[in-house]
Amino acid sequence: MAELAARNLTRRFASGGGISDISLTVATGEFMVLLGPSGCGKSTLLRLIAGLEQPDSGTIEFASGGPGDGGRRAIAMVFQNFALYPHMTAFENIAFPLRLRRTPRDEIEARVALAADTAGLKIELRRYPAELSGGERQRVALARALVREPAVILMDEPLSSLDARLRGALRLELKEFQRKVRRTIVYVTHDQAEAFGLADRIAVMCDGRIEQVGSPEEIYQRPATAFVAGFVGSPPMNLFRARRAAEKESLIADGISLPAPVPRGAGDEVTVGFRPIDIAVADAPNLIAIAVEVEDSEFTGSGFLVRCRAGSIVLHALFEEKPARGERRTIFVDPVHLHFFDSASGRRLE
Amino acid sequence: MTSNYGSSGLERGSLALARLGVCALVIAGAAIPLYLLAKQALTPELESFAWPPRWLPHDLTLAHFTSVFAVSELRSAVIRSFAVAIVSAAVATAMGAMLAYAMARGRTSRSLGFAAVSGARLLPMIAVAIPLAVWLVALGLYDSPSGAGLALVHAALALPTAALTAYSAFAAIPFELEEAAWLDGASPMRVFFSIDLPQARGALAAAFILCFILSWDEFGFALLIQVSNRTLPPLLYYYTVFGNVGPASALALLMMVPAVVVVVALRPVLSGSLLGGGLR
Repeated sequence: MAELAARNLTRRFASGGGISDISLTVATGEFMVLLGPSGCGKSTLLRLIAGLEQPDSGTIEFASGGPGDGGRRAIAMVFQNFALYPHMTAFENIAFPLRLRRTPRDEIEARVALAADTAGLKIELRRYPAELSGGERQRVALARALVREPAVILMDEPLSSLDARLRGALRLELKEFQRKVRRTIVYVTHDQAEAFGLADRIAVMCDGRIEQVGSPEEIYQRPATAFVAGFVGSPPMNLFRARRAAEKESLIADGISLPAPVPRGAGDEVTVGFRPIDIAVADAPNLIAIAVEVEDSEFTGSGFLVRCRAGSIVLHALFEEKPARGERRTIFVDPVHLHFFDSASGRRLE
Repeated sequence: MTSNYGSSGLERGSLALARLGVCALVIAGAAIPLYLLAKQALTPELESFAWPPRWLPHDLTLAHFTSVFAVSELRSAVIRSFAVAIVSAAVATAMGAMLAYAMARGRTSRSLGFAAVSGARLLPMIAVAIPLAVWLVALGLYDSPSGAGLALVHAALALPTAALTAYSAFAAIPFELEEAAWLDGASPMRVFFSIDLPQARGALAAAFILCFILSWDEFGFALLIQVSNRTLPPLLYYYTVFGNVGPASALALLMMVPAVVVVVALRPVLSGSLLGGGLR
């Protein structure tokens, strides 16, 4: 069942940016991540869902009923910088939404305690935000979002202002949190590791549009556009343009000849991609061989990320051992690992 | 190494000394007149005019205070001055807070507000004195025993000060806090009273103090508007004009008391130790 459905949402800003004609449904209990580079409109979409912005056109429907609460929906939001009320204690912060609803005092105490517990808060709730660590503030913000039992919780890069180690720990906790509370969560991030770790489904956004919506596996294995292919995955996918060969059913790029079947619906030019991780250094039957010259390499821990050049095309490959700079090598790619995109539209070709 | 360390230590020492010196100068600049005022208030007038001037008091007397308290007008002047200062400070702070909030939250209202506030400050007050008096006569508030007309004028005088003081406080409150409160279910009114106002408390207390002192001390309009129902500054003025240096000093000293009391009373609010930490 769809918890919320956005239809043809458009919101443009005079200063540029915003979103255009976005439609997105989020199922009840789903963890939906909006992923994209900064300025892609993911926060705008979140703010539209929150009701903090009004769309120029389009609608958002909620399963939990229309706007109640004086125009507000049954949604809570966790802000990037937590937005805790500095003049209130942790308890008062969490209790604030309940106070506004004139909840009886003993019920407030019980629900604040429950929310604090669910959010993993193990501190004196009499303390002020200024006296709390980043992780504790984060948990207070979570507890405040949770305490009035909203149908949807929105999160705007809730981990980005924490340091790396805490971020990793809290990511695991967030997942546990989602399992416990079974709420619909819409989560904005530019960090694909976060998106892959948390999401049931990911909506990849670029330039105010949704490029692809799908499970993390779908997004990774079958990127719908060249942008998604290049944005998702680390190290990023090698992408280059190739022309259809004049006589044969194959593709030629500067320095690379691909005896691969040309995908259906392809024009004269396609964008070809394959992931560094899918490159083999040893030959095997049916592999495509590409002669390259090594330009540079960097140690990644498990191996070496090697930048090499085939003609004018720069490719990245993962090697187990460190190649010498300037060395000539041959790398191999299985045709099943090739992705094709229409160069004009960026759409995936099969 | 050691000499290096030593010289830098010496530098630090002389710098600290210089700092102390500047502080001492500033304090002396404020304290010496105060001391002289107190001395004049507590010694016979002959001592005030002694030549060569004497720094230390010789005979101490409360006669000047007695003579000030004997003035029949004093009681009503004190009450009137206090009422005018409290009312004008309250009105200016309340209105200034509203103006400041609008300025902090809207781009158009910010430019309009700044234009109005600085315009009001640039205007020579004496230029509007007569029109103001005429207007108060029309309203029936001219020279009113309650000082209501003067309170109105003082509130208008103090409004720019109050607005500017409150503005920086409201502008420092992140807008996200308001958005968060709105999403938590608060009405715009509730957002202002529960989120913004408590955080601006210190600044509003400061604004109140400034406005209070501005009114308590104000002389020109008080002289013009409260011609017979006087406030304290004109009263003091008449003492000085008629050469009663001793009683004038005693009254001036007495006038400092409420200002000090207000500042001390509002000090806990002024130190905003609870602020910060809401945003990371």
